[in-house]
Amino acid sequence: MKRVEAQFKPVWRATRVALGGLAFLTLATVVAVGVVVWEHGRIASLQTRIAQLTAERSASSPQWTSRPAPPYDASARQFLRERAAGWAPMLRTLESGAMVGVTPTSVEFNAQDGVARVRLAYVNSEVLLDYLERINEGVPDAHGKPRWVLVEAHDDGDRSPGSATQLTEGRVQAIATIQSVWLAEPPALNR
Amino acid sequence: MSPRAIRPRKRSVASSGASEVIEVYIGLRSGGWALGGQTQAWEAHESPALGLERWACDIGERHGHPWRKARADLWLSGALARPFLFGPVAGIKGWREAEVVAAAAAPEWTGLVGPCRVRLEAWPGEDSTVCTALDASLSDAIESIARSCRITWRNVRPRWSVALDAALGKRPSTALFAVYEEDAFTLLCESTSSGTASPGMSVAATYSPALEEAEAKALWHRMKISFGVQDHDAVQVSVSTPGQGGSMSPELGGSWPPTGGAAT
Repeated sequence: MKRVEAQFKPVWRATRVALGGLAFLTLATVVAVGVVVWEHGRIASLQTRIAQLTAERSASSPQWTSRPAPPYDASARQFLRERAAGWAPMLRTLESGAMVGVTPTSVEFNAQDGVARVRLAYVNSEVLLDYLERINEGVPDAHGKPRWVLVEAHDDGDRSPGSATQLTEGRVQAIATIQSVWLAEPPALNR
Repeated sequence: MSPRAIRPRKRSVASSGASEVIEVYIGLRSGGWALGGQTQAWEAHESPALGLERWACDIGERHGHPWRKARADLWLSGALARPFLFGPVAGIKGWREAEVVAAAAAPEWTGLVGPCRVRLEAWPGEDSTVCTALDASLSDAIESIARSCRITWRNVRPRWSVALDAALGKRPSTALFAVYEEDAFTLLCESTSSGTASPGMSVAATYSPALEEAEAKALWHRMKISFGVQDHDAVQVSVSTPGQGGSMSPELGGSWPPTGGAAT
């Protein structure tokens, strides 16, 4: 005798909930795929547009060149250079070294190269050297050497009028020239 | 269509004797359920559908989870799922048509009232085959109750077919098989007489209400003689139930729940 199965187990049927879920999943999948496809198309069109615009710009627009310097450029740079020049420390050394027998008569300062040139009237060479020593004290140059240097001195002993030796306030004085270099930071000029 | 077209079916899980199997038995007048071989409830009912709904919902509440339905085997008494021999019927073109024809013939052959659902065991085109009929309204109720009570049926089979599985497991040469239940007496007989054209099933019938003991014994002996069945090939099973108060014939064995069933 063979066995008898007689299986009446209900066959699985999709309920409304299952069908609804399946429909929702299908719809969601379709929508997701559609969105992805649309987004890919949009990205491709944007990339094409970017490439097109880049090509148009490179073809039509002039090459980027540096802006020409304005007409006041040189004057402005000169002005800034003079403002940034070492006027103050130079004048401070002259003031700090003031002494009887040496009188600064003129001060020339070239901001372009930072060279200060001072004319001095002095009574004798010893006083002049003392003066030089005093104004060089504590202000060495970048190489550690005395900043102020004697450029020229005229004391030919001739005390007559018109000679290099002059009579000032009733005293006979010789004339000397000293100079120093006060380099400042190069001026910044925003463009 | 050839009989080979029948799909192979898996062996019932219930016959494997799993320890925590939930089993529901529904008879014509009473039913109950068991967990792991232990009866949990047993009560008489007005109709099988009402009883089934009660026990199914009880199981669903106690063993169902929000994320998983309770799984149970449903065994039907012979009075509800009745076998009969169907065919051969010439000219049937497909399984669907064969089932429709068998369902139409089922009330006349089984005594069930109203439309039936049937299960054919083989293709009825060339030879007769065992067909089991179940009341269509009960079949629908089984399906709808499973949905409403959050329960999944692992098996919905006649109790006698499970007993037959057990009997064939112990005695493969079984040729005459009878199951006594509270509400039915089911008889299956395979002819073993020499000269029989076909070795198929000769008798498949359910007597409901169950025969009296004397009638059943007389029928049993007639079958043995008529079909030449030897004693060792004849198996009787009595399915005792808590509501029945014992088996019809103590020597026949049988028990509820079916996982502890015995065949002699």
